Formats: sequence, structure tokens, C-alpha cells
Amino acid sequence: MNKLLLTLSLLFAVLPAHAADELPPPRVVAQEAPDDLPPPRTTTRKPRGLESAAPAEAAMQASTADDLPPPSARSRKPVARGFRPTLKVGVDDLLLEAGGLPDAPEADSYSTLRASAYVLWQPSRNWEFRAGARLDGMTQAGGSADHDEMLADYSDTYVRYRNGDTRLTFGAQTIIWGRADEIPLADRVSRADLTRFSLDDLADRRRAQLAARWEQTMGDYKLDAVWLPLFRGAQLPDVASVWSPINRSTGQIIGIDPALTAWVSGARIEEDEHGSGGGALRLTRTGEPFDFGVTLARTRQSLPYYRVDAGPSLTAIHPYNTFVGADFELVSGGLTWRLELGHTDDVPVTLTTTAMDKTRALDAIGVLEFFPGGGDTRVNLQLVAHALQTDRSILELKEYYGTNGEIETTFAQGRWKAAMRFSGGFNVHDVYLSPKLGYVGWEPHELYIAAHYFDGEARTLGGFHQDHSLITLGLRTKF
Amino acid sequence: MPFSSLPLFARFLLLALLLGAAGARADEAADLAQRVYDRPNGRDLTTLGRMVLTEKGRAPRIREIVTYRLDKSGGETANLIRFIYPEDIAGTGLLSIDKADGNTDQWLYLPALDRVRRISSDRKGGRFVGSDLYFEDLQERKPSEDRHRLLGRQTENGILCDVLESVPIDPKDSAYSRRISWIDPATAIAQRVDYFEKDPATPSKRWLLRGKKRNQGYWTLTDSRVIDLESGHETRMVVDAALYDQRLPAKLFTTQALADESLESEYRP
Repeated sequence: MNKLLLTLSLLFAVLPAHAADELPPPRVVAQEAPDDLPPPRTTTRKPRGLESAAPAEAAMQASTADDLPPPSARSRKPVARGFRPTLKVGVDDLLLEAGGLPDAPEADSYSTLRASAYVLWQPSRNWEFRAGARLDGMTQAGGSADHDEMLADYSDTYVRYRNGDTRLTFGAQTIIWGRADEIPLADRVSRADLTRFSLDDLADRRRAQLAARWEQTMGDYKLDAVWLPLFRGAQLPDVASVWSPINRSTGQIIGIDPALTAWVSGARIEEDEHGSGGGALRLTRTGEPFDFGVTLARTRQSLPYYRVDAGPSLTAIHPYNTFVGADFELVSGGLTWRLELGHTDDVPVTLTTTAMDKTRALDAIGVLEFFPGGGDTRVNLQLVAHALQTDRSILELKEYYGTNGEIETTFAQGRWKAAMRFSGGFNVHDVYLSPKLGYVGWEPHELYIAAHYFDGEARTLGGFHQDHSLITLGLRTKF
Repeated sequence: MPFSSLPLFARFLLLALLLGAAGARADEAADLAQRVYDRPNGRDLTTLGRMVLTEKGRAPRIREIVTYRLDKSGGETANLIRFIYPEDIAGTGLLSIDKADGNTDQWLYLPALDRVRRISSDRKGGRFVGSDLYFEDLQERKPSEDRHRLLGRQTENGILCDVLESVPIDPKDSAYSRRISWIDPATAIAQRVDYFEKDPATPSKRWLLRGKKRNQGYWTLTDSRVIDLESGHETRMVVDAALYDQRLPAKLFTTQALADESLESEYRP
């Protein structure tokens, strides 16, 4: 028995020693560098009630043992800052970009300047006022269609009232509904900006337009009602621009069979955008088991349809149509799934006689987003389907099935960003590839080099711009 | 005397005692992990802080962040993070609801699109805004998700600490293969954490506590840093102000507040 006890005591003595062997070696404590942490920005307000705590005191407290009493009601309690009127002035977008067009007959170079500034004033909890202006400049040179232009416009300029679960906004605003990244179907009340075609991300391809908006939150639900009292069509580039939807050099209209539009080169081009833009309702729910939304819109689309009139002339019109859509979003197995479905009536199409007709369209977009290996790379893959519901012979594509999306990654501690946007057709040859390498370590600025490659057959977007592949060098910032 | 030559009864007794001792140590380790998890942190907490990203030979990059946390009923915790600087990410928000069953719902607000997007919380290893923190480091990790073991005691930050090893029960559930924490037994506050990824013997990252301070009776970790041990890149996290128990409304942790910064800004310190 004595031997057994001896054995046990030896074994117990060994146990902690064995664990101690697994202890990492003690850390070599380097001499702490002097604290070179810059003080908080002057805009970072020090908290009330905490200002008297000196750093020395804090350091001393850090080394004290825990004789901490439980929190009591008598403890001095600092308070939050509460509402404070704010006035903010800033430049929310500045883009300088120089580009080369190696294949375009119209120009060898295409450069852009875009600047947008704003003033935001919130005098009380309930009221907010914003005024914004933007300047868009472009120049293309070195070919058959040298051109430059400068355009001044308002950006988001509105009065906003909020009270509890209600938010009312009146004025020029950019409202982008939907869940998909590139072409959300529920995006029925925004104003498109086509001045740079698809070179930019979705947010930069939209502009503010006059709208009255009522947002009402009801628990997990939100009702969003928008009325467009004064319609403005998409911001189009000048017809001389390489990004114009009408190419006078080749006699083409984007999306229309070029075999029947040779007369376009000499046609007059007019715009018809009078009257109201209509209204739309969107109801969304956020929460378990997934987020969803339904949209009902009777609006005029900002993208133009070019009606052929006598002359010949082309008139950009924006007929009303009715859209009914549903969308949802869920996360499963580390993947984010998004789906949008839509039905649109009164979609204008062109008969082989060049007369305008109207038909119905069915659209679907499925999105899959994930981060391979849970790391720093984001993959956004979208499948799109578009089908016009007509038996008549038309100049547009009756069906389009394709994919688009973006692969984006960061490296070197997030100082560099590489991305590839892409788009391609399944039933037609239609390709868009846009690799981009950006340096974002010089915050908040981004320096980048990017390419935009277009290719495709007639009636596709890639086909229309196949001579306009572009290489760019740019700087983008906000401050 | 070899173990096999002991009488049968003595062998059973010895094994029972050994297993009992190992079990007791495992319980002790799990208890310590639970104490760290349960450390008083208020019903709700708001902080105003900075992340300073430093790399040799380069200017530091600074992010200013406001965080809100609310412990809801039923073991649910809600977190809202809002970036306020630099300008290119200002206004971006992240809302996380950590549920009692271990699942997390997460939404991201992108000001450029004025859109709230549901995102996957399974993204464990991605770097949070270019820092040395992984997305996993922002999530609450329950002690029951790891197997814990006490490795012994060692001095860290001048305090004799319990050294606790934590290994994920489900390896797919974490970007780390294991973590070793140096815990001050008096306060249940970690003084240092070594993170292991691919190499089980060499830590890839190290978290070090640099300063703590009492606010309203609670310890606030006011200054800490995460070091990438391979590259030397460092992320320092400084809390400039902390407010506990200001009765943050549950409405603050909704996608409505996520998309409207002005709804939460008045609760900032």
C-alpha cells in the first residue's frame, strides 16, 4: 500500500510538471517604445464625465489588483453626447482618369474629371438639409470624333424630416432599390447616368432626380413609397462621345440590329422627357429566416427607347410601364444567395418596319456571393435571364441569358486591391471584362490602373462597344 | 513497481484517481474560460475608439470606429459597428446579432449604394478593414465552442497568469487551430493571447493588453495590440471613451438604424 501511495504521489507530482512542459517559453519583453500614438482628431469629441481621467491615472489603474466593487446606482455615470446640431461640408467624389482607346476610330484617348461636393446641415433631430452639386467633364481626342464637354448638375439636394419610424424626404435624391449588384430589377425609380456607359460601379451609374419619398418602418417591415413629380431621363453622353448609345460613325443604335439602321448617321436626335415620372411602392422585411421585398412600380424608365420618326429622326422616349417584382436574400452554408424576379409590361420594342410596339418582359437574376476559404477574396456571381414575351419579329434580342459579377481581393495588409468585373452572354456572344489594380494605402485616396474589354455580336452591349476597349489610369478620392 | 504488477483493485483506484484529477483540471480550465466570458461588461456598452495600423517604414493608417453592444434577453447579443474615419469608409456599418444557439446574423450597410446587405458570418479569416483582426475576432466566441486545458502559470505584464489553451471542438468553426491565453486570475482579463493557424507549434498572431481602465465600475480594455508575428505588422486598438448601461434601445440594433447614422449618433460618447 505504501508503494501504491508512493506511485500515486509521484504520478500526481508529474502531472503539473508535464503541463508545465507545454507552456510556451516566456515572452521576451522588449523595451516598450515611447507612446507615439497621435491624439484623437479634434473632431473626435472627448466624452463628458471622463475628461478628468488622466492617462497616468489610467496606467496606474491598469496595474492594480481587482478590488472592483459591483456597479452601483451611486456610481457616477457619464452620459452620451445626445443630439448635437451638425454642419458638414465635403467633397464626396473626385475622379481624375486618363484613358487610351487602342481600337476606336473616333479617338485615341478618353479622359474624365468628375467632382461632387455637398453641404449637410442637421439643425435638430427631426430635420436635415442637404445641398450638393457635381461637375462632369470629359475629353476625347486623336481620332475622327474629337470632342470635349463639361456638365454641371445638382447631386442629392433635399429636405428630410424624420420622426420615430417615419422618414420623409423631398428633393433630388438617388434611390437605388434591389439586391443585385450590377442590374437590380427593382431599381425602378433611379435616374441612370450613361455618360461613361458601364465603366463605373452601380452607385456611380446613377444620378439624383426630383422625388418625394416616404419611408415607414413597422417592426421588421419597411414600406418605401416614391413619387417622381418631374421626370428626367437618363443622363446621356453627347452623341459624339464614344459612350453614346447612338454611334453615327457605324450607323448603330445600341441593342438594335445594325443591318436596319444604316440611316442613323444622318438622323436627327431628339429627346422627349416631359411630365411626371410616376410612382412606386416597395415593401421589405428583414429578419428570420430571410430578407425579402416586393415592388410595384408604375414609372417611366430613365433609359431611353429611340423611336423612329419621319425625317428620319430618332426621339428618345420614356414610356410608362408597370413592374411587379419580388426579391429575397438569405445566408446558408457560408454563401449569400440573392434572387430577384420581375414582370414588366409595355416594354417598347422595334418591329422590322422600325415601328414601335409594346410587349411584356420576364426577368430573373440569381446572385451567389461568397468568400473562398473565409479569406479576403469576395466572389459575386450573378446569373441573368431576360425574355420578351412577343411572337412578332423584332429588331431587339428576344431572349438574353448570361452572367456577370465581380471577383475582388486585397493584399499587402489591405494596401492593394485587385478586382475583375465581368459579364458574358450564354445564348449570344457578348463579353465584358474589366480587371483593375488599385493602391488604397494612401487613404482616403485610391490610385488605380484598369482595363475595359468589350466584344460581342450585333445587338449586344459588348458588340456595340467592341471598338471601345479602354485602358485607364486614375485617382479617386473623397474628403 | 510496474503498473501491470499492481493488484487489480489498486489499478482501478489509480486510474479512477488519475482520470478524476484530469477531469478536475479540465473543469478548472472550462471554469476559467467561463469566468473570462462572464466578466461583467454591462448590459450595454458604447465605445469610441481607434484602430491604428502600423507597418515598418510606412505611415500609420487610422480608422475611427463607434461600437454599440446590447445584451438582449435569451442569451442574444447585438453589436453595431460604425466607421467614422477615414472618409472613404465613413458611414459604413456592420450589424451582428449573435444568437443563443451560436448562429450569427450579419448585415453590412454601404453608404455609396445606401443599401443594407445580408452577409455571411462564416467569413472567419478575412481581415477586418485591412487590420490584423479577422472577422472572427469581432464575433463573440462561447466557451462551449472550444476544449480548454490549463497549461500552468506564467508571468505576463508583471502578473502571474493562468495559461489556458483553447482548441476549437469543430476545426472548421475557427480560423485558428488553437489559442493560448494568459489570464489574470484576479480579474479574469487576458493579458496576452497567442493565436495559432497552420503551424501548431508557432503562433501566427499575438494580442497584448497594454492598458485598462475602470469606467462606471467596469474594466475597459483601453489599449491593446495585435501583432502579425510573421510580417511584424501591428494593429493597435485604443478606446478613447466608453459608456456602459446607458439603456441603449433595441431599435438601435435594427437595419433601420444601420442605414441611418443619425439614429445612433446621439448615443455616442
